[in-house]
Amino acid sequence: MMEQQNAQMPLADLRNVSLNYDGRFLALSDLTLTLEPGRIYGLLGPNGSGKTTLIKILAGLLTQTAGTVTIGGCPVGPETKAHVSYLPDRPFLESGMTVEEAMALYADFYQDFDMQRAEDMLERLKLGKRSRLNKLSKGTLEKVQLILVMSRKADLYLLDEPIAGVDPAARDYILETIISNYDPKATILISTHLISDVEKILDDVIMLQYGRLLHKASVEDMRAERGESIDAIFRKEFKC
Amino acid sequence: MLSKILKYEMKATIKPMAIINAMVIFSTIIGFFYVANLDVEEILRTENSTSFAIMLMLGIMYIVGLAISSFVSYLVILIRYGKTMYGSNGYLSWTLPVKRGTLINGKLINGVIWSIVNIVICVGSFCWLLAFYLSKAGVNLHDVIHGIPSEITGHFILPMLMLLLIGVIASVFIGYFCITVGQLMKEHKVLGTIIAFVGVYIVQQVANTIVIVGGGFFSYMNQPTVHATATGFDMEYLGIYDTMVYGQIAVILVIALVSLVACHLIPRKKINLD
Repeated sequence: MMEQQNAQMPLADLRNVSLNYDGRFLALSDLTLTLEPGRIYGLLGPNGSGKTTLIKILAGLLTQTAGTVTIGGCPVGPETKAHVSYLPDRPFLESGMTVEEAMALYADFYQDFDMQRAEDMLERLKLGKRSRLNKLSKGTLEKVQLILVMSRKADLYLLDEPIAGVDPAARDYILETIISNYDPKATILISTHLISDVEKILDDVIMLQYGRLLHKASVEDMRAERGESIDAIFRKEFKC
Repeated sequence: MLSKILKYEMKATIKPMAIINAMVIFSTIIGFFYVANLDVEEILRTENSTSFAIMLMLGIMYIVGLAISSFVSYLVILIRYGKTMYGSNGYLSWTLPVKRGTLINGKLINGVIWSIVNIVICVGSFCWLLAFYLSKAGVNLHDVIHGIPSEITGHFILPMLMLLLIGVIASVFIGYFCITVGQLMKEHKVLGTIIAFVGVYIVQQVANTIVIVGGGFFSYMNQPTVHATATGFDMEYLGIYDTMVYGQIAVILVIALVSLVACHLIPRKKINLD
């Protein structure tokens, strides 16, 4: 699907997207946004700004109440899910599974899953494939989930708070895993509050507030224009 | 993709289901050895003896055990559906590159297969043990089976087996439907599921009552001369019975169909994951 797309075409295209929960709370409001291939986007915003909602729409877990969303020119569905690798912000694998079984499941369902890449990453982590997921520590489980997600040769990686709740050493491991395993032609969308940690790997930032797009700019341009780091800009923009 | 979904569903449920069904078979074998060592004819002659009371109590415990095994296997199937579709595992299930319908159907087929396996093992074990018990009591089973009138087989035994089988399959559909409705609640999904169960039960009972009373009444009005005799059923009486049994089957089929459609339609509108 994605190979057939025009090189000039954005990978993901959201037009006038709105989503309200229970007909009241507007999580996203008239959001228009494009994601270009080969870029690493930081999705930033305070709590309740719509970051997770946006990621869930792209992953196919939520359906927008208004507007259109396409990935590689196709509306979100089984076809796009085959090209999107999604890491939720919580444990999502069956706890009774072993690491090996989780890898087999990914290999079975995702044609782009690279078993060798996953095994190499596991070896670096010195983690046995027969370990049960419910026996792993929170940080190790997050690493295993990231390994599965990053072992796919996907076109779009959606990483929702990948470094939240883990120690600084684990954060470095996770960021290094992301950087060293993604195809430069692929797009990564990382949602995070820990901006200073991820800032160094981002190409662009997307800032949301109240479900609306506040900024979308290149990290370099933003830094040059404001004369400060993205973390500092974020703190000023969303100061309570 | 359906086969892959089914493969993983089977893999995840085979262990608890094998344990539940093995326990049924094991308790039946224990029951067999117990009956084998009993002088059933003698115990039945002296109904007030302790042996008779113990035999009766163990028989009741065995039947209750079978009912519990069916209930537990049903719970295992439902809990798995709830966790993998609307719990934290739903983040994986709903992002697999499969059609929504395929995902739901895979889980439905798995639930139906295990429910049928459990009911076949329970009914088969019970019938086998009962047959052994009756033979020990001096009953000639061959004569009993061949002595059953074809009208009873056709109007009672087969329709009841059909009702049981359809009921088991429908219970899976209804259970999944209730979970799907329960997940719509922002919090207290389990409570929502239980309320949905109560709602479906009330609807089913009202519909059954209408079918039984209405069906029976109209059948009787069509054949007002029908009556039961001291020596057996007037065979025309079975027409009324048919109306009621097939009416109940129709009610279950309609509820199962509505549940199935709702299981597919509701997630199109809303998936409320933990």
